[in-house]
Amino acid sequence: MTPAPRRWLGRAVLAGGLAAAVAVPWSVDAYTTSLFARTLVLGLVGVSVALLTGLAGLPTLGQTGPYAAGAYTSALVAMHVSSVGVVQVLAGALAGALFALLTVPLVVYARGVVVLMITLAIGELTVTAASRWSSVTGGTDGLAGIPAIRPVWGMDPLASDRARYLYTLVVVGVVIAAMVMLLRTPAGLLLRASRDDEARTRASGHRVTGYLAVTFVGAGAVAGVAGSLLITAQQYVSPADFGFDVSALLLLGVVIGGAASIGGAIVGTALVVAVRDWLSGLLPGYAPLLLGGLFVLTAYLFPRGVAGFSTDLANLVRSRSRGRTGPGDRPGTGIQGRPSRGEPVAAAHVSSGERR
Amino acid sequence: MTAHLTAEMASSQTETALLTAEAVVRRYGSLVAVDRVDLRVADGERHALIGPNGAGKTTLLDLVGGATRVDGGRIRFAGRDITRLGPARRARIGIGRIHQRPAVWPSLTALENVVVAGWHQAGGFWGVRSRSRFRRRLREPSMALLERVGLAGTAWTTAAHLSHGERRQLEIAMALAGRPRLLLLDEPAAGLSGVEVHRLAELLAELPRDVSVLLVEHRLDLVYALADTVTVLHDGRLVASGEPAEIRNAPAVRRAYAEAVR
Repeated sequence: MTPAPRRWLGRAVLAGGLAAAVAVPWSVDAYTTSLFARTLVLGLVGVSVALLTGLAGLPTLGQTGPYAAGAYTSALVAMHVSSVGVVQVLAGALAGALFALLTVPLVVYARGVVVLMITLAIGELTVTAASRWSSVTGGTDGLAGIPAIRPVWGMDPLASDRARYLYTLVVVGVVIAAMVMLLRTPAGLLLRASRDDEARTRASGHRVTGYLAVTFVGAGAVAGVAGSLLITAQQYVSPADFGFDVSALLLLGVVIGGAASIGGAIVGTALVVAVRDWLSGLLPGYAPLLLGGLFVLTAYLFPRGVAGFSTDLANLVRSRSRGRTGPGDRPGTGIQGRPSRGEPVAAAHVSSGERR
Repeated sequence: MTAHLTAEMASSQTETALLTAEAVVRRYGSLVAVDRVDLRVADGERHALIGPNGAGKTTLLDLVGGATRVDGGRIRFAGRDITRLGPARRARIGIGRIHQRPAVWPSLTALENVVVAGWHQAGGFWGVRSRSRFRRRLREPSMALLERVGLAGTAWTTAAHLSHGERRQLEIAMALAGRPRLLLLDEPAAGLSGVEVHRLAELLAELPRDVSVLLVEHRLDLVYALADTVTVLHDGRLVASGEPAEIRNAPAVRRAYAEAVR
C-alpha cells in the first residue's frame, strides 16, 4: 500500500531520531539534559494537541487542563502515596482522563473557532483553580520537595538528570507507540472519516460525537501522563507551568509541525521550545519576536507543516503519483475547523491529513 | 376490472409500506420547501420523485434521510416512527443515501470508504474485533462491492483522486455496503457521461428486490425505465402520484412540469 521509498525514509528518520534521543544525556551537560526532558514532556502534550487538532478536527488551547490535573495528582501521589513511577503515571493518566471526561460535553458539540474559545476558557479556569486552591496545589508557590521517583517496584530512586531523562523518554515512547498502534486500527479510519466529512460519516450511521468524546478523553489521558512526567523531570510544579503562553506555544508547535502528524507534533513543539529557551538566550528579550518570525516563516515555506513538507518530499521521491492535487494537498496552516452544523458540507473537505 | 385490481393491490400494499410520510412540512424562513406532502414507498418498490427545480425533491429526501428535521407531519419507517431520529440512527436501521454531489471521504482510499460505510452492517467494533473477522466481514465484502460497481482497479486510490463518475460508483458501493432496506438516490445520473449513465441504469436495475428505492432524477428516460411509481412535486406540493404511464399523460403534471415532460 505505502510506496516503498516513503516507508524506508520514514523508518530511517525514526531510527535516527530514536538513536539521537537516547544519545542526548551522554553528549550534553546535566542542565541541558533536564531541558531536553522537559521538551519531551511538552512534546507529549503537543501530541495530545495534535490528536485533537489534526485528527479529530477540534483545535484546542485547553490541553493544559488535563496536563495540570495529571501533574498535580502525580505530585500528590508522589508525596503522600507512592514513589513508584508506574503508579504515578497511571494516576496522572486517570486524572487527565477524568478531567477530560468532565469537560467533554462542553467541547464535542462545538466546532472550529468555538472550540478554541471554550478550551481557552477551560485552560484559564484550570490555572486560576490551581493558584487559588492552595491547600491542595500549594497556590502560586507550587508544590516542591517531591521525592525522587522509582520507575518500578524494587528499583533505586532516580537521582541523576540522565536517569530522569531516560525514564521520560521511555514513557513518552511507550505512550506514543501505543497511540500509533491504536490509530492504525480501523478506529483511526473512523476518526479520519469523521474529520474528512462529518455529515457524511453520520449519514453512514456513525456516532461521530461519541468518537470525538472518546478521542477527547484519550487525549486527556495522554496529557495527564505528560503531567506526571513533568513532576519527574522538574521535581516541582506551579500554575506557571500551565499558563496561556504554554497553551499557545503548544498549538503553535503543532501547527508548525503539521497538525495531523504525531511525529510533526513532537518536532514542532521541540522547535518552538528551542526557539523560546535557547535561541532567545542569545538574543535576550526577543523570544516572542523570534517565535512570531518562526511562525510566519513556516506558514510561507511549509504551509502544511514540517510533516506535510516531508510528505511532499516523499512524493517527489516517488515520482509516479497519480495527480498531485486534491483536497489533501490544499495549503493551509493545518488548523482545520470542522464546519458548524448547517454549513455546506464542502467546507469540511479542507484537510491536511497525511495520506496513505 | 383493472381499476378494481389496482385498488385492491394498493390497499394490500398499505400494510407492507416500508416508508410512509404523512403531511410532512419543511420551511426555510418564509419559503415552504415541502408543503404537507404524503408519500408511501412499499416494500421493494422503485419510487421516483420528479418535478421542476426547486420543487422540494431533495428537501424531501433530506427529511426522509434525517439530514434535516420536519417542521410538521410524521415519518414512519418499517413500522416505527422515525420522525425524531437523527441521520445516524436512520442509517443504522436501514436508510441509505446517495447525494447529488458524490459524498465520499476524500483522504480515504476507495476501499477504506466502503469499509467505513459498511461498518455498522458488519457489527461495529465488536463485529470486527479481530484481524481475521475484519478481513472476512468487512474487507472482503467491501472489495466484492467495488468489483460489482467496476472499481476494483482503483481500490487503493485515494478518493480525492477519483473522477466524478468513479466517485458516483464508489458512493453506490458505499450505500450498498450499509445493506439498506431503502435507498435514497438524489440525481445519481447528474454529471455522468452517456456510458456511465448506461452502467448506472444497469446497476440500479440489478438491485435486489429487498431494497426499496426512492429516486430523484431529471433524466426521465431513467425514471420511466426504472420506476414502479412516479410522484410529481411542484412548489413543495404533491401534484400527482401513480404509475409511469398515468403520470406521463396526466394533464396536471403536464402543466406543472411542462418544460421537461415531452
